[in-house]
Amino acid sequence: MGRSFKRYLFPVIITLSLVFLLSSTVSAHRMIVEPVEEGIVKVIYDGGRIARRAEVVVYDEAGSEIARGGLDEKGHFYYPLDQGDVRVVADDGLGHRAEWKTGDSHGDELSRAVTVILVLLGFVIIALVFHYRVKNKEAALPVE
Amino acid sequence: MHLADGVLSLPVAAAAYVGAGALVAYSIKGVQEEEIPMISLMTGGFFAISLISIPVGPSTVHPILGGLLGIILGRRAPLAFFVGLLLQAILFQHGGLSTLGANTLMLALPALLVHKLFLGIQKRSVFMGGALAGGLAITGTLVLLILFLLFSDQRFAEGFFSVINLLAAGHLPLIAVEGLITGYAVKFLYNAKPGMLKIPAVNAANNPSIKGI
Repeated sequence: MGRSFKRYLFPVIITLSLVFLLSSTVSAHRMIVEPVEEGIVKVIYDGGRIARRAEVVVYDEAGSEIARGGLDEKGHFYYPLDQGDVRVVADDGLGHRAEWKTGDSHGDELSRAVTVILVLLGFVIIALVFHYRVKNKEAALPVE
Repeated sequence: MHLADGVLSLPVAAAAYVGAGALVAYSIKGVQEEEIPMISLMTGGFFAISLISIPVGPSTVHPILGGLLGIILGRRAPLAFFVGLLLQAILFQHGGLSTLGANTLMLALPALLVHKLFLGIQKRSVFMGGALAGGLAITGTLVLLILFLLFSDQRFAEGFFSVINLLAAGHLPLIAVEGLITGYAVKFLYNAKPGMLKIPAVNAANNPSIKGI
């Protein structure tokens, strides 16, 4: 009984320590679309480096594309102001993608870490549930 | 490392989905309840660790631990990659749903390959086996990534600073780093928890709860 528990102890410890590690590093290199002022957004990676490869597409409320292009030298992109609320999507073609809607602030830093923790917790729970199911099954079997 | 939506052409993405589907089906087939805790934990570990990005030049590189997952999970590795990638795509727009098939294949094929390789080499040196497996898994992933990009659009290869050259250069350090990490991790597991490595001889000797294999 003690042994089978120990079998999973190591990965559990690793996973949990990752959670704490990640609370600080999870946002280490995300791409962000940041509002600068009305009509201007800036596309950067966490840490402030400009996402030079990013292509920006702007959609109106109905979801149709109204503007597209790269960033200027400062990493800024100018979107049209006469179209009401817009959704700005940036993609650097290397796996990073970020979105911003007019009116959004940038308070999702925390929710991201929370999401990661919840997901990991889910996996740990699944692992524990099946671990105990197996253990119960083994216990029900006659001793060899 | 993760391909985003819209990078691959439709036929390539579709073909990759078919391949990945077959691989995941193979991976799920015959899963025992005993294996699920480990699969679940490794999936969580992969999900979390590959969200960390390290800037290398103009690109970024993610730790993947493809080799380690391959060694520990064996044929169950594709399932772990698929679930991890799916969650990343849905929750963080990291990668993309249309490229999920390609991303899964990119990680799962090398993982399966190095699993076999590791079983062959570990008799001589566990550390070397792990290190080689870790490094080769990334190399395999990189090769598949480049192939996917080339099949989709030849322009990815144009010029010295082409996407492909940048990706290759960015991943060279990762090959070395993951090789070392995997080597040490496997060595550590071999000493501390040999049952986690699916080495037949070790399992039989040290872990009577696992029968046969």
